[in-house]
Amino acid sequence: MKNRWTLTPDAFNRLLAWLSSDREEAGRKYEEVRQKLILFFTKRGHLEPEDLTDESLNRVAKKLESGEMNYSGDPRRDIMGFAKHVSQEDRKEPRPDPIEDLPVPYPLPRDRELLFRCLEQCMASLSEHSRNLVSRYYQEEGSKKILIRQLLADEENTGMQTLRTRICRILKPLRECFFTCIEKETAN
Amino acid sequence: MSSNLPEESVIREYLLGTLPEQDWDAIEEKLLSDKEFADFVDSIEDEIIEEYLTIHNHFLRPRERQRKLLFASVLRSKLQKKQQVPVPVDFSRRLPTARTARPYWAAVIGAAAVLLLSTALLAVYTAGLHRNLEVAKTRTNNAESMLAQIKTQMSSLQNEPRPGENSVDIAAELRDTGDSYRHPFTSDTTSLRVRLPVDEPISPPYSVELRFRDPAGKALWWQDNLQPEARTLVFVIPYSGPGQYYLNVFRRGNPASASGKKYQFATEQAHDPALKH
Repeated sequence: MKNRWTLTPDAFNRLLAWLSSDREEAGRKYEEVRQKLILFFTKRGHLEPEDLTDESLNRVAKKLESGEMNYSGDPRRDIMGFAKHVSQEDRKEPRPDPIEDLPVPYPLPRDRELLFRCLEQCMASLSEHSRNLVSRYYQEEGSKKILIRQLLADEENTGMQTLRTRICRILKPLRECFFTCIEKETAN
Repeated sequence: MSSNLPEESVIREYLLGTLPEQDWDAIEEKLLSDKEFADFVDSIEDEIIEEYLTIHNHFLRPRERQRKLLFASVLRSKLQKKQQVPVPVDFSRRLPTARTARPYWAAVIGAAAVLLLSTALLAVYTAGLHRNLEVAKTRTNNAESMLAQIKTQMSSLQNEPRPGENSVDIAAELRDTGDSYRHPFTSDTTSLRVRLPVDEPISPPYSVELRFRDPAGKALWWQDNLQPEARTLVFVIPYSGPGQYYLNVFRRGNPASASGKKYQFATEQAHDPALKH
C-alpha cells in the first residue's frame, strides 16, 4: 500500500490531543488503539497488520492536520472507520502468487508460464459448456465463491453436490492432460 | 462471555475469509471489546492451524494429492486472473417463470431474499464440507511462521546426532563429478549424514531426492526447503543396505527438477577388503 504522507511530530501531537487532553492518558489510548488495530488487521488475514495500522493512524492524523475532522465524538470509532477503508484497499491489492509458495513437500514444477500454457492448452480441448462451467466455478474467492457456485448449480438445475461431482469429472482428464503436457514440455 | 456468541462455524468462516462481509462488523466489534471472546477466537485460530499442519504433514503426503493441489492452484490462479472480464451470470434464470409476472421490485426482493437465505444456509453447509480444502489454501501469517519455526527446529534437530542412530558422515568430498564413491558401513547403520558443498553465494532453499538402486525409480526419500549453512547442505538420509544410491539436489522453484545436480555413491559392508574411496 502506497503511503505518500509521513507523520510529522506536529501531526502526531494533534492525534494524541484528539485521543485525550491528558498527555499520559493519550499515550495509553494511542497504544491501546494501535494494538486493537493490529488485532483487527491480523484477524482479517492481512499480510502486514502493523503497516496497515500505521497507515490507518497516519490517515487520521492527516485528516486532523487538514482540519477536515472535528474533535468531537469517540475517536476510536472514527479510527475504525479509517481502518476499514484501509483494509478494503489492501484486499484489492494483488495477492502473493500461490503457486510459488505451495505447501507441498515434494518437488513440482513452478514455472508459471509453463503451467499456464499447459492449462490453456488442455482447457481448449474441453467442450464449451465444460470450459465455461469450470471457468465460472473457479472465478471467485471467499464468500462470493459460495454464491456463484450456488447460482451455477441452479443454472444446471442441480444441487451443489452434483455440481461438485460434475466439476470433479471434468477436472480428472483435464488434470491428466495438464501433467502430460508438463512432462512433455520439461522433457524437451 | 455472553451466551449470544456467534457460532464456532461462523467464526471459523470469518477467519477463513468465507463469511459474507456484512457479517464481519458484529464479530469484530466483539473481538475488540471482549477479551474472553478474543481468546475464544484465538482458540479456533489455533485449531485451524492444527488442521493446516495435519493437512500439510499427513493429507498432502501422497504425491497424487500434491499434484491435485498444484493443479487446483494453477486453475485458480489462472481463472481468477480473468476477473477483470468476469463470465456473466444469468441471474434471471434463478427466477421461476411464474414469478416473472410479478412487479419488478417484488421479483428483485424475492430473488435477493432467496439468494441471502440460500447463501446463509449454504455457507454453513459448505463450511463443513470444504473445511479441509479451505484450510489447506489458507496461508495465514501465523501458519507460515509456525511452519517456518517447525522447519527450523526440524532442520536444527536434523543437524544433531540422534541417540541410538548410527549416523555416518558421507563427507564433503562428494561432488557433482559423475564419479561413484564407495563407502564402508556397518550392518547396524540406519542413516547417513550427508554434507554437500553448494557453490552459490546466495542460495535459495534446496530440495533433495534419494533413489536406491534404480536412478529412474521411485524416490525412496525426499526433503524440501533445505537451507545451506556456511555453503554446505547437511541432511540425514535413510540407509537401506548395501547398493547404489542416487541423490538429486535442485533448487526449489526450478521447474526442471530433473536438471538438478546428481550425485551417486555405493555402500558396502565395512569389512570388505576390496573397498576403496
